[in-house]
Amino acid sequence: MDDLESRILSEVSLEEPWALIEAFSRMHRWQPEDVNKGVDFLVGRLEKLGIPVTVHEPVLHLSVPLEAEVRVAGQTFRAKPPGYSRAVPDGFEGELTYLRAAPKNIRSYSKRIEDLFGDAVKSVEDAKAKVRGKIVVTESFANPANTQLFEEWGACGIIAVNPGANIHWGICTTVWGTPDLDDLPRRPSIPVVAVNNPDGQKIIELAKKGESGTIVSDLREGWFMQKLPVVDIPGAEQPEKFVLLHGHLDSWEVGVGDNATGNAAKLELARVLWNNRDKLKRSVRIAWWPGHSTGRYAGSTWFSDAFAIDLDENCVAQINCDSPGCRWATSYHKTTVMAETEALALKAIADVGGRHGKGNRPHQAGDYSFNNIGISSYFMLSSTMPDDLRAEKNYYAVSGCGGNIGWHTEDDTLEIADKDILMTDMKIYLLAVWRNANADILPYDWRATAAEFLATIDTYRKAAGDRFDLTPSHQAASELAGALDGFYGAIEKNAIDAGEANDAITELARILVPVNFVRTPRFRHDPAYTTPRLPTIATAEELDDFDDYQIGFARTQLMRGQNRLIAALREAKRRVERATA
Amino acid sequence: MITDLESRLHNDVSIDAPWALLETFSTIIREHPDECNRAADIIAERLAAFGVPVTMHEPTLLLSMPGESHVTVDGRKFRAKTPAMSQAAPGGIEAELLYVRSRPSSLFLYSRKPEDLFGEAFEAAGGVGRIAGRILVTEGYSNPAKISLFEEWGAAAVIIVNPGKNIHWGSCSTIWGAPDLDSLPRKPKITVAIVNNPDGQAIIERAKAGKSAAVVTNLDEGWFKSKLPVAEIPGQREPEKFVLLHGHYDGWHYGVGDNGTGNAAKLEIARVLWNHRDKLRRSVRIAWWPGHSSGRYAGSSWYADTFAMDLDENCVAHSNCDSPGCRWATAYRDIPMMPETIPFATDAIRDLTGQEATTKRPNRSSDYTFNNIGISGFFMASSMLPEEVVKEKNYYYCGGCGGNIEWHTEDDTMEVADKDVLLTDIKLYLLAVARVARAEVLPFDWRPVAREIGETVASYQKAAGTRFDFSPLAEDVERLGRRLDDFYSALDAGKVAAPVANGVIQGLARVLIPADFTYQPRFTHDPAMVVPRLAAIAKAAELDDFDEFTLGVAQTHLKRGQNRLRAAIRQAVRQVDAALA
Repeated sequence: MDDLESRILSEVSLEEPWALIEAFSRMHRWQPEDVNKGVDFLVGRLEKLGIPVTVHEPVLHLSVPLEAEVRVAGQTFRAKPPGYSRAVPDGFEGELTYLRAAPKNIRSYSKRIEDLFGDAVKSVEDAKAKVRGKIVVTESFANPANTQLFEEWGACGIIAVNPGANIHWGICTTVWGTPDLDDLPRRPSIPVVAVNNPDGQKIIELAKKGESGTIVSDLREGWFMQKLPVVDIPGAEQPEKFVLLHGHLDSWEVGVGDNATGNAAKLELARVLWNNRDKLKRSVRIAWWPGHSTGRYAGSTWFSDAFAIDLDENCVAQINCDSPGCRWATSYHKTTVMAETEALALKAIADVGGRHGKGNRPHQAGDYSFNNIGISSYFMLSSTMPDDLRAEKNYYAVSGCGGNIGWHTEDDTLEIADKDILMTDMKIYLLAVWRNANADILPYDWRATAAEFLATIDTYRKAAGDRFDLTPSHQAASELAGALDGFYGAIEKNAIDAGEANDAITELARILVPVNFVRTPRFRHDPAYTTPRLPTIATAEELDDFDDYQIGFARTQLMRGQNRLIAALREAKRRVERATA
Repeated sequence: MITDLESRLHNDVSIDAPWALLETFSTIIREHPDECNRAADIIAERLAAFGVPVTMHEPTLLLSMPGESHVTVDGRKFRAKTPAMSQAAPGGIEAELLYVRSRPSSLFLYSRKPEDLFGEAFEAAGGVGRIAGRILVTEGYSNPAKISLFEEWGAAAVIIVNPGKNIHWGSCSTIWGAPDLDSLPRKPKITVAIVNNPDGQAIIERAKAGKSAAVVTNLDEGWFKSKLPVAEIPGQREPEKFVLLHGHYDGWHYGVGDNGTGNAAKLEIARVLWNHRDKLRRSVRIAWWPGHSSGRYAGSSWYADTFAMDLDENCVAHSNCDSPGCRWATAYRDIPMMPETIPFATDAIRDLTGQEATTKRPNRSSDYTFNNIGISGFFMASSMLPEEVVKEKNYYYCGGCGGNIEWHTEDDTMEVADKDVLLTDIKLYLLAVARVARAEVLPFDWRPVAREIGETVASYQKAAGTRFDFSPLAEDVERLGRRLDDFYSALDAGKVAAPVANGVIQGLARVLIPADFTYQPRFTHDPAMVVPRLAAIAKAAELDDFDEFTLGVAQTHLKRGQNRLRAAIRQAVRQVDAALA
């Protein structure tokens, strides 16, 4: 860390952020009206600090859960309906059937049957026979991937048995943001509810006896004007280029650990960066999203659609700030990074807190709404509790609040936040953003991406065996790796103009992020379920599932997918060579 | 103006070799791969005899070959054909008949809008609700878009009533080429029988009387090795760059006019160009496709997938040669070509024949398999019967055989071909292909494309009214138009080096053709259905169909579509800018 960095970090204070956390800990922020009030409050703080803020007012499509219950055999169980489940206020009755989920994957957005159900389901036909026309009872959070699967298999309802004493709020659509006409058919059309574990165990027992059950649920679905505040801290040298730091403002209940702490961190970063804007090379844009919880990232998705061309041409990085500063969350082993940003992100963690982080591929989740445009990214959830502490507390895994199981419940209150940890996390974000905005040459290492691609292709190659030839992909990735060695070698020798290098580094993201993270075209949004690495050739790992006749279709899929991949790899190589020449 | 050299090429054209091939092909039914492969060997032998090097590929293609089929009503058996890729029903399907009248204008319309296909009477008569479980009887050809609708609506089977005394073969799948895993769900699962008009009228009468029918169809479907000959005439200066001249050699029955004549034309063009190869700047690649009829362009799709990178990087244009040289077909009206090729291609027609050709936007049909990669294309079907001849003979519309109604029937025999017409068409294709291969600067003018795209955007804006704002896109398109004016002025003034100009002219095709002719990503294949202009925003013309809820969804759709198109147009502008820098 250099002197300027130390000085900037020393300006970070808990005063503003903690005040915001305390205020938000008393404000529900999930009903659309309450979310707008939360925004007004935040905007008041920003204005008091003299920071200019633009408040956009998009109309977002949201599905806000209200209440639910389950009735079986004369007993009534408390429940919560996930966003976008079908509302059945007059009740929906069906025969129950229990399908045991693989315990370690109840949070997974995977659609692979063996991931979701282990041995409980042998094939799609088996699954269909088990669930058709029934209300499925299964261990789960409100999960878009399994909701879609159950619906495809013909289930008429889902009761998700949560792992603990609390019922977790959630959302069960795979549609990313406000639907477009291509997405619309994927909206869930069956009722879904979550129940807590003790109640769920009772329902499972009743299901095993062949009982019927009734789901009653109510949701508020429609178009809502939601305020969306954005602070733009102009860079002094390249103001049009910007780093996007963002996270959701709306939350479940009062959502302290998810995500008042993130809102507070961004407020503090806005303050420190605004005060030091004369020393910023590039701009930093800071956004607080509505519609995350009840619209499946509807706010960030709207922003990515509304400012798509600006993002495409000028955004150098997107950094998501979700659930930092939570109690006991002192570990960085679950840090989200893309391969090219891993070194930058982990170095910021090491330099601030002296801890070794571990990089993880971004899930198709969070507010990562920029993968189709193709923007280099890092961080999503922040620090989390160490695995041994989680084991000691006998906590099940959750997707926020630093691993605290108050996540998405009434218990996500002030006690979840921790001042010291928040301080550390704010400094980590600040240092990373600062370095990113100020580096002469953007600190992304695309050689790491090329190496990851080669490893992925090797895995797929091995899985495909002689059934499909991925050598051309490997060849194209190797050639890209070679060109990148030349490029970074030239950078080290100062043989490339910084502007040209930065353009190349940014444009590589537009080419290489989409091929590694999405399937649908740029400027759309992939569904919210797990996307495998290099998705256009990922069928290579599934060839065992096809018979002699069907494998021709899979091979055709791979041939076209490989073409798409190679065209991208070659385009990337040409871009790098042009910069190096 | 025909140059001396072009006259020399034309003087070398003879009818001998093409007519001999045609006579041979008029004795080989080129439907089953066994006969097709024999025909491919004959093409290769004749090429070899002229010294033209030929590569014989042997892809394995998914083919579906119609077999014996019939319809029984009231104990009376009607002769029938079944379209390729329909669901075989060897055991027969029995159900009540239902007649749905098709609009006469919709026979070739690959649209899925019920009002386009059936007019207003359809809804008035009960619409979709009546269809499930019945055998539909309707006029037309085996139109894939229409048949996919019937399948969705739950029809038990479909009987297609052709317009004449002959029954026309066809394919009813919307899947372009071999299915991949994304398109597989669209594979038809419905049984279809095609009958001639007199039989059809009899069946329609029985349908009106509420009778039932039995439909029996047989198909031989599977993966078949299919030979695919490609001749390469190497250019002298830029041998890696090539013009692709192509057409199918499989067909229905003896298929003289569709497409024996095209095969013969390409053979003669290969011979003449080979003899004059020293005068070619670029290469000419000539391909004869299998799998056109029974695999919905499976041969050209396989080629596009297998040689995708070469096509992407090196193919400067493609020309489809389907049904030239047919009897009475002396008019160059409604000749399919992409707008950038219109000035060049209509010049060739005028120079050769003195006719002012009329042109049309290429349909999503024939072997126009290269739109997703983005390759400029000219010609598809060739010369046609003049309109007055069509009227005088009281012919219904046919897409092939120059408009002769023997198309896709057992009557497509030697009498459908015409030596003089064929000679003219051979010279036309030869002239056009040679001009592209010889021009120092590729003869394609992107200015009309920018104008046409601008007009399309304006028409969508008009339809959308205040419900959507396309002005950002309109501005980008205007800028492209201005920059193209600058580019062609600079080119005329000799200020742009030919290699740079060619790079731009070819590069623009990769960006603008996918934007204007496809919806799916590059390196996949759009379905065989009407692709509206600027498909990403085409819903703008349908906003009246949406209610309050779905209008927001449609607007979101248009926003993402506009982003995709803006990014493409701006990329095109950057290409032109770079050439002018």
